Amino acid sequence: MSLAKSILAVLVLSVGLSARAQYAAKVTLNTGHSFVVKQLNIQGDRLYPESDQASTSVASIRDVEFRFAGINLKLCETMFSSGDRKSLESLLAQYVGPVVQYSYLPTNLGDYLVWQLRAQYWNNNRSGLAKSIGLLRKMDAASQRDAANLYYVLALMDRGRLDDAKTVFTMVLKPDAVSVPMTEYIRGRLAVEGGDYRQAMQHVSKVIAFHSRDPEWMPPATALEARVYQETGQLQKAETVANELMIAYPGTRWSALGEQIKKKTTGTRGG
Amino acid sequence: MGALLRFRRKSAACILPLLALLVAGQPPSAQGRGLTQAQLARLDPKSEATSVLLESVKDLLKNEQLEEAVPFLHELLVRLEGDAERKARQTLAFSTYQLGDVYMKLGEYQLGAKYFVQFADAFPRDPSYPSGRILAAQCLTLLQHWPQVEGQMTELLSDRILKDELKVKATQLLAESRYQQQKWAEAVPPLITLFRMAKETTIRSGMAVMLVTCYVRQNEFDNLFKFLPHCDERARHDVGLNVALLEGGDAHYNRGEYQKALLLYRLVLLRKDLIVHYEGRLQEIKDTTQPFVAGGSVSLTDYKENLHKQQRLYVRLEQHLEVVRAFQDYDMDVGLRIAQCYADLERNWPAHAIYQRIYTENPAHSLAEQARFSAFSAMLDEREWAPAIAEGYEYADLLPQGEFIDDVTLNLMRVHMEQNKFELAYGMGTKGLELSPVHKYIDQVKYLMGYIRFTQFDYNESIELFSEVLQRWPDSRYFESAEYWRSMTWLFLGRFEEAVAAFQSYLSSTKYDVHTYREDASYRLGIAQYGAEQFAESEATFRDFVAQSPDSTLVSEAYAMLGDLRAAEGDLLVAIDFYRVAREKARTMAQVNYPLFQSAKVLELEKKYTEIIEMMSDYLQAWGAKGDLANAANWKGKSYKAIDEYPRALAAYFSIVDEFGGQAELAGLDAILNEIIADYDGADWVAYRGVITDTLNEHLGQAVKGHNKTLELRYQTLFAQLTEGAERQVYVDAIVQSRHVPAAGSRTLVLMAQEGVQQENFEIVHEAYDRFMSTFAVSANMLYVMNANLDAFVKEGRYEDALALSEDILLKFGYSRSAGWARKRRGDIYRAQEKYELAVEAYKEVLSIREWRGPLTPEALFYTGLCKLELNEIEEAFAYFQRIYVLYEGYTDWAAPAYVRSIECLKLLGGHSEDIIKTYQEMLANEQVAATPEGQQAREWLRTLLPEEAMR
Repeated sequence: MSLAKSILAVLVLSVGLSARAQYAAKVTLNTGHSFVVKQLNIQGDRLYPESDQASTSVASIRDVEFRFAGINLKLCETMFSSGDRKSLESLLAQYVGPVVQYSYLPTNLGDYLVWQLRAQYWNNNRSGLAKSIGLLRKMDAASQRDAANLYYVLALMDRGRLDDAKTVFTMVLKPDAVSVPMTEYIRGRLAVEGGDYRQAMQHVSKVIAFHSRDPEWMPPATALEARVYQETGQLQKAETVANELMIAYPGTRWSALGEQIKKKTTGTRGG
Repeated sequence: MGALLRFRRKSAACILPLLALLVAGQPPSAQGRGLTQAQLARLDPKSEATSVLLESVKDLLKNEQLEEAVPFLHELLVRLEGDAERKARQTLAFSTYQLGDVYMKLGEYQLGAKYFVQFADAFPRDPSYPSGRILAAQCLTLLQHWPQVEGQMTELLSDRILKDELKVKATQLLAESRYQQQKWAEAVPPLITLFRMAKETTIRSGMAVMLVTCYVRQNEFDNLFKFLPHCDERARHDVGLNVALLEGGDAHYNRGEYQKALLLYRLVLLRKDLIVHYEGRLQEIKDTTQPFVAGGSVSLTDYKENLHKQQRLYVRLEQHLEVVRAFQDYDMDVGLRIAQCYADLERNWPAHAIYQRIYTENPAHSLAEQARFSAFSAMLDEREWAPAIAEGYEYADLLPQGEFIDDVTLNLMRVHMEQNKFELAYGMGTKGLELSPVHKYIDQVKYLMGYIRFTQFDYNESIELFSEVLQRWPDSRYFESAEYWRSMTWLFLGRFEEAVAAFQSYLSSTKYDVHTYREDASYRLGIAQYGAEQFAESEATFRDFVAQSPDSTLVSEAYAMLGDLRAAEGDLLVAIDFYRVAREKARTMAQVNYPLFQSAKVLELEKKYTEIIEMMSDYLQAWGAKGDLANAANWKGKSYKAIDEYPRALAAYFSIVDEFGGQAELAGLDAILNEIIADYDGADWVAYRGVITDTLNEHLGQAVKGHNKTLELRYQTLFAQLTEGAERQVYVDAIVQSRHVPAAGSRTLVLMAQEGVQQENFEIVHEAYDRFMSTFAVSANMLYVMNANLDAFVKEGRYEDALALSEDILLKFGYSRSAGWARKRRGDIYRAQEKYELAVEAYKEVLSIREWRGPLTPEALFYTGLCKLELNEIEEAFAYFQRIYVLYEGYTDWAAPAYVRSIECLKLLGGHSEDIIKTYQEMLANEQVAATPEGQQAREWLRTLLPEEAMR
């Protein structure tokens, strides 16, 4: 892990030194004609190519595909899954940040912004998260808007705004299409906040039973299971689940949470 | 020497061609063209010159004539041993190395290892030294001499200037040797080094498998969970690694370490994931294999070598894929293990979810049945009865001959009993025995069925079932329970002699080491003896009981029984003393109340009213609202009345109501207020009517002043019951308001509901009903409020609700007299819905219950007649109407219209002119009927038919 982090640090450093032009953009026009630019030069409603060719109307652009020198979607997934979420957020800020202004165009930026959103949520970057949600909610792709709303639901629940969270959740068209475990977690969490622990367990157990290798949703679902046990007075079970958090997610917030739960439950049980 | 790196572990077939490359790597001078058999026959190693021997060896090796080379090499070793001359040392080194090499190629690994070790030990500065050690280790690996492999590699790796490629190979051998020796902790450092250094996927995968195993075996979960996220896709999908996780899980599970087992099982990748992975990799190899292009950047030799490597990898991956594909039940098996761990950790919801998915997705699979049963068990363990019942019934429906059917039916019985649904439990027991005549828990099922019948007062069947258990299964663990409960059943049947015998038999039985029910049975024996009028024996039993079981929860009741027994003998003082002890030993209010009021009865016999008053005052002070307020007030009032001090009796009533009447949920206070009503209406205290209303008025005023709404409503309700007409209406209007519902006591709620019906204010009826039902689980007023609610439903046209409520009333009140009215209402509802046949059935029920005979009978007969009329069954209708004025002529309200309707029937039937006239005459002969509007109308009709007679 430390090796990976140091590699990333070097990458981030090198990017920092030459932040400009760290991407190429393949522009495809409505005619089907396409060309690649190293930097998008849009002034007003015209796109100016790098060569001496004539400018193109922005309205005639069918699609812009960005390719970044230091990051791609596969790397986003790998870094997110292995827990390098701070580094991922930095990389995305370095590479994708400068072109976010073009997200109003039909681009592939949405997928990167979803990774950014996820990283920001777990890194507790509230202002960044709010910006990403705002950008994604303007996207054409319903799945990206849904993803933004789902993380918004989580953020609202974290702030204790349960009614608002429920309202936003109803706005999500196809939550399962974004992530089944995430949706089940949210449903479970809403049930817990509403005091319906039986309903909560029905949802959370689906994450635990069928998505146990999901690095994003399995740990919070496990923590939620522990919370249900705590709140229903099943302290022995709460302790078992706390142990699991400590063993399965070493060196993370989840193991720390496991320790806290264990302390509370053993304290309540009299050691 | 670089060719050495291409050696593959454990595969002699792969090693040999590479050894050929090793030879090919020797200087050209060492190569020859081989020797013919004739040439060999002429050469004698013992006598030839050393130079000849050396040349011959080179030729033989060049020509792969390995066996023939052996004597020459041995001879060289003999001749050069001990020669310190440089050339001789070089030749000796060469010969020793080659001898090891030849033996290795010939499959003589022991000798191969010997000469490679000999070479490496003797010539540590020779350039071939590292490969000598590695080849020695290779031979030893093939012989599985792991400690020696470890020794060779430890020696080699102490050389810090070892090239990276050799270091990888040596580290690999070192790691494997330690792994094979199960030196889990010592194997980890070289495995980690190798995982970082090795570039080949196959090596990394192998190392990952070993590393995971080491962590698992050492319980190093911390490192395991740190390592796995950084394990690359290929290693993570390695079949061996996943099998290692599975085996690790099994090992922990078998030791009862369910959490660790669970964590390992959960890491195992599923078959579908592995198949996708392997198929993807095979496709990748196919896609990247291109035809050779002459003149390109890759030489033909390199191309072939790479191709060969890819082919080997392809074959290996194909083999893995085949293994994965062949394991059809892999995913289900892993799923079941995970679910079992959750279940063992009592995390029943996830366990249930997995079991449910297994049987849903594989309904025809043999494991589906186990999964179904486990899903049922998980919900049982979680005490989630609804899903457990759903699972259990589905199992019983789908798998009536299933392996677990006996467990399912028995447990369903128990769940139903837990929910007090005894009839369902009994039904499930019956079904279980039908499905499985040799039910493995038949004794338990029969015992439970007997117990269920006992709770339902069906004592005869209960006796039969308990007796069956006792006769058929003398060794059953339910034998003792069956014996005890059969004794209890005799007792409850009132067959006291049998009960006495049964309890005595149980208590004296030597069958049990410890009598589980000894205490209870001893007490019940006394009761049974009392019932059998064996009073002396009963008293002896109770005296014995209080001496033997002074801490029993029943000891108070035993003292109370002793009090009763002594009181019956006229030994009143002793009786009172026993009642006193009974109260001292009481653990429940019932145990306090019974001896208290029994004492009052004894004192009443002795006319000691002052003592009763004092005793009740003490009781009220001690227990307050927890006590039986109504009874205590009654005894106080009764005692004051007995000494002719009515005002003090009234004061006692009001004092109790004032003190506790503010608590809306206390139902007992209504009984005290009823006592005041009875006094007001009765003849004995007529003189005090004014006193009663004045006192009531005074207390109402105090309640209003004290803002005690509940008490105020209670007194207003009392006034509404004592007054009539406009005076009453003032109180009714004050009471019947929605905002008063939460503060109202039970009698006030009844008044609200009844008046609400009259006023057609159905909302307040339902509010009062809901409040009543949620507050007063047991109350004498319940039936009144239910009937009022039923009336409201009927008036609102909510017939289905009304019918449901009528059923509820029957369930709650059985065949008590007042319930008959609600059941008659059921017929009215069907009639209003024009469901005449159902209405007739409902009325028939009313007519068939003995307890309901009386005013309801002519009404039910009348309406049955009306229904029959609607059904055009005229003759039957006539018969019903006729029964009313023949059998129930005293009920004028029903007899009069019954005459009218029967005449209507005769008209419809036709040809009964004389019968009609006779019926009119009979009707008018009954003076009370004649005075009714129907009678007066009948007189007019008769006048039309027989004017002369009528006028007379």
